[in-house]
Amino acid sequence: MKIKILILIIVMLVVGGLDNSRELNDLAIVSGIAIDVGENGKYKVTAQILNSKKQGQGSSSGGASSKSSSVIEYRSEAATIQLALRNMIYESPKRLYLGHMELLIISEEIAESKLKSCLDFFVRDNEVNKEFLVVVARGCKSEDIIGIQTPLEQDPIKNIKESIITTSKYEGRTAKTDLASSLGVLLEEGVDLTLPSVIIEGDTKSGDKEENIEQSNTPTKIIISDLAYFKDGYMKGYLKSKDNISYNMVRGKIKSTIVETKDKKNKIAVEIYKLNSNVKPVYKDSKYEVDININCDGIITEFTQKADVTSEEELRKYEDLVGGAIKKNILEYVSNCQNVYCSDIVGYGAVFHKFLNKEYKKIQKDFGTEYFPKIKTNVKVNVNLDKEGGLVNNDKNEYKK
Amino acid sequence: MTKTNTKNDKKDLIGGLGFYSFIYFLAKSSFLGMGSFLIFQKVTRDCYISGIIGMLIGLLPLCSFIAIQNNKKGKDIIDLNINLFGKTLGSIINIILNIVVFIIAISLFFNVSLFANTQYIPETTGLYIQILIIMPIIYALSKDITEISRVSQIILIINISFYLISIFGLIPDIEISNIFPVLENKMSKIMSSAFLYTVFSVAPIFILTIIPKRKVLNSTNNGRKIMLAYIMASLIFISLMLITNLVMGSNLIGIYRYPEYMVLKKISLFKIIERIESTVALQFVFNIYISIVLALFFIKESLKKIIKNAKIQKYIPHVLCILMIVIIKIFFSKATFVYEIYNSIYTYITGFGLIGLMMLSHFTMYIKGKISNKIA
Repeated sequence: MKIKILILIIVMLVVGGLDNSRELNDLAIVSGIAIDVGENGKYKVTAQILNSKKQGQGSSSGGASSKSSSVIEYRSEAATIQLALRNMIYESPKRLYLGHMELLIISEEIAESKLKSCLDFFVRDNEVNKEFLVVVARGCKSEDIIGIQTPLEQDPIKNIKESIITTSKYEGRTAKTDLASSLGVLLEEGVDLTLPSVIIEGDTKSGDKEENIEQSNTPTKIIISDLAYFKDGYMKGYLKSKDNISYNMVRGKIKSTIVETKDKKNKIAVEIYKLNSNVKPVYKDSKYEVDININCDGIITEFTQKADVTSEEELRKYEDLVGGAIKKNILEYVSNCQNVYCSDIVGYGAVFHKFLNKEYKKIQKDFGTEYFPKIKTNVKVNVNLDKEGGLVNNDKNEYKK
Repeated sequence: MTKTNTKNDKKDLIGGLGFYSFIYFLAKSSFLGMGSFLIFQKVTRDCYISGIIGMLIGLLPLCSFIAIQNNKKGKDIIDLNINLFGKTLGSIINIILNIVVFIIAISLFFNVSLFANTQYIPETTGLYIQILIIMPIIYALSKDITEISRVSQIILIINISFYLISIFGLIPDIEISNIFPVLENKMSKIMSSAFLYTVFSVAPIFILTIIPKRKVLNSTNNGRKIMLAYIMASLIFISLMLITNLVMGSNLIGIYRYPEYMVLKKISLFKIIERIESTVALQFVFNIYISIVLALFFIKESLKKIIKNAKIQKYIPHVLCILMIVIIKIFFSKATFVYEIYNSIYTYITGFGLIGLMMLSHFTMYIKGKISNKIA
């Protein structure tokens, strides 16, 4: 009995002594971090913290504190990110908690010179949630982006995150790249990284003021831009407009997108709602080739002129037309990767490494410089436009005559 | 009266499921941070091939385990060794066995406390965590093996539920191409990882030789059931390694200390249930908990044969647990030192010290059996 009591006392002492116990009120929950290059190559870190006081009140409540911002920013500069974040304690009464971080914005300078070392802290630290998105601030400082007031979301970080997810889901122009997946690509052989980018449209200085969201057409906006592409872990530039969608098509990561094409008299918009992609390496007659097969289901959503889609033959004609447009875009994208971007974002090296490993080992050293630019790409697109859409018989649609 | 006696006798026996659940836990005991970590480091995406080969190789020493378990005299390994090798040599072998089992217990204990320390509560002192973990271990050891087996059965059900949640929750994140190129590593590397797997999964099972067959309910023809329990545990072990690779890719599993835990962070059930990695990872902690209890039970039962005083016998678990903490404090202060040990001598110690000696016992038992048959 005595031993049991002794054990109980020890347990009570031990449980009470767990140093990690931290009350929710004691945490400064970080929703996003922006990193720029400061003086002498130091990291200039800006952390956006959710104002728990404001968040708890809700939007309808009044009172003195209703004027306070829903998010708070802290800035600090140090040679390491960890120290910069820790130094924020001089300003913040609470210790920063990174477990709910949703976004990391890095400046172009960071992306161009030290992305890997910048990510190291976030990978090593146990408290950091590894699922946050990584974004490049295009043509501006990342600390400017973090402060822009947005009308639909109180938290600008959440606004950017949701915009990226929505753009990726409904247009396929950007990619939802989180820390873990970008790290996986950085470490993988034969594939280069891409990251989504955001730009500021309008006056940066007035963007962080309350007046920015008081107008229906906000003067300063954050807009999702083209994907930033990397070569060996260093950012080199941004993809051209159409290549963003082609990039996601080849990866098979498109959930929905619009393909626009035209025949002799008509412009057509097709919504792709399902897409599968298969990238296969081929080694034939001492030549390296890649076959890209794309199968997609879509629906014709718009004609600019009167069109007939009542017959099967007509429908197949439009399928070929859309397929041709997709094929052309993909071939252009691959050609740009090989000759303009000079970056294997299409992942040909990885595909050869995975599926033609023996052959790849022979050319591994010179793959990026000698073989990759010359690889022939065969694209086969199979479009299925079986759904009729809202208008069944177009002959009766006299309004377009 | 006879019926009541039979009922009481049955109460003192380990239920069939209880015994096989022990095999399940022991075979998977080193999954977290030890076995899988070393295999991931060595062969990355070929881990499942090493696992399958290792599982098949493991069937051989498992036959020795079954033979020892089914020895005609119905003795546990300690008595059997004395019987086979005589008092002096038998005692030496028993001492070595106990030391090796204690090393396994210490390694598992250190591993689970390190895991809790690094992943759950990094700012808490290791000693606090160790004391916290040791409490239920001491409590379980104060009970009889039948009671431990009942706890094990309950934990088995929880464990399998967590395993199924992990698998179903990770299916949407699977990237089949992560499996390619198959057999990227040299065969010698794959085979060395396979042996590593065998040692890590089969060696702890030999701890169960401390439980004589007569203590297990319905133990006739138990060989097949033991094999099934081992294969089931191995398949779960291998499937977890495979799914970790398929979800994270070979590059990421190579950089994380606990990739099998990191992958659980991606679990999403019906897009509602998320961030349950800490709960689901308890399956690994439970594995280790039961295994430590059984390892210390092995030593406790061995010491009971020397220490006859019942009052002192009571305190054996306490002494063993305190000793574990003291040894960890002295020798396991640096994590890198421990990984070096896992990577080098630990495998040899458990391989030769447990599997080797047990197979020796089996071989001697077989030869002696043949000779006595001839004489008869």
